[in-house]
Amino acid sequence: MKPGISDEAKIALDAKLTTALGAINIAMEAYPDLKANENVMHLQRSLNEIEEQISAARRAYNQAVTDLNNAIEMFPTNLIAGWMNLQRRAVFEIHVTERQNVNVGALFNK
Amino acid sequence: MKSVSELTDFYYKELYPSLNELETNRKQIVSHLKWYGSMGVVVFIIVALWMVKNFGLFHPLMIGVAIGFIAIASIAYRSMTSGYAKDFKAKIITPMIGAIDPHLLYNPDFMISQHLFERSDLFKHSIDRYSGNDYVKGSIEGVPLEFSDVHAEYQTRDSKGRTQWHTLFRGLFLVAEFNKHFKAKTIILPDQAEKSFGSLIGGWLQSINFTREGIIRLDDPEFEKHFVVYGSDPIEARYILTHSMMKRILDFQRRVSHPLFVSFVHNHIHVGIGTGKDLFEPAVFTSLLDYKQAMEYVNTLQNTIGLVEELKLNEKLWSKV
Repeated sequence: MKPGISDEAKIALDAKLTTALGAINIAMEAYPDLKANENVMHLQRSLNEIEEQISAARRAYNQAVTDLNNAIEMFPTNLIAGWMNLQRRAVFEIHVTERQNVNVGALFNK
Repeated sequence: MKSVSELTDFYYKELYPSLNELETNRKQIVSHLKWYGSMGVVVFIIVALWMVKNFGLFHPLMIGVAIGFIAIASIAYRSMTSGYAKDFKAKIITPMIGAIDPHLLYNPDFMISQHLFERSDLFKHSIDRYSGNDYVKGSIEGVPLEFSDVHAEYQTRDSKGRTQWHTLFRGLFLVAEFNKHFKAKTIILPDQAEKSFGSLIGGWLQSINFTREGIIRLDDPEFEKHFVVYGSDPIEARYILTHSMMKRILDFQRRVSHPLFVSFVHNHIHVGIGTGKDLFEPAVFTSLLDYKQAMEYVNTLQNTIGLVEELKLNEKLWSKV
């Protein structure tokens, strides 16, 4: 990742990456033969690994941001935050596409 | 891996001949104990009466005699029951562990090494006396594990120079390989501060614990209520403690209902269950055929060995093979 990139851009990139990883997994399910291939298995393991690592980093970041946001709003730390001119930060959120329920009807009609 | 009901069946059906043999043995020991016990009491009363007559009730010799009798009684009790305990382990516990998985090795006199216990980093205090027994080693579903009873103590001296022994940990200690790679340490301890002082003051107390590395607050409120997590790398701690892993640890905690200590060090998971007693020891005064007693042996074994499946340590989804 490029240095000096803004938080908002990072969050947008994370959302893109998560969608892409999900898409790969779904695409692989369409080809059962692929599961027998060692390279594909290795790829899947790596993807799982990356996904969990990213998720861990995201949760660590979100916890830190939540602590910061709470401190900015709560007494007595809010006085210091106001004096230091600290701003609330945004947290990573689950993308809208991932939040939607699975449309089983559409799956059967494919 | 067998279920609890299968194991209970095994206990009552396959082990029935040895159970019966041991049970007659046990009854004999109990009747001996009663006979010698009552004789001892009679002798003690006679000696005591004689001493009261000659020296008076509060003579220092009196205390000496009482202590002497207690010492003799406990030595006699030990020597009479130790053979029975040995037989019990050889004839009941060994086949039971074999029934759970034939690849498990069992040694009643050995214990998990002190090095592994200290490596877990669960207990910061130095250990002055370390003992244990009932050591099991092997692999379940391809996951290497070992566990045993452990009793770790440290000693202190009071102002008069008397040494006192304190128990640091007593219970079951298990070490198994973890299915993810990690470099940092993550330590999960029972949450005492937050329970006794509430979340605000307790949380503050936890965060200034000088003996531990940074505190890690996790995003599962239920988990946070029961445990406190320390670790050197907050990202890695969350990589290990996914939401499902936290839920599994919580579920396990609810079932064992003893203090639970878990640490992730050196690519291994270390679990301490602070039962406060020595497990797999037969109670001389309760029947071996007693259902409750049998269930205790079966459940302890099943819970411990089942931890591999319960925490899904056999799931190899990640880059570690």
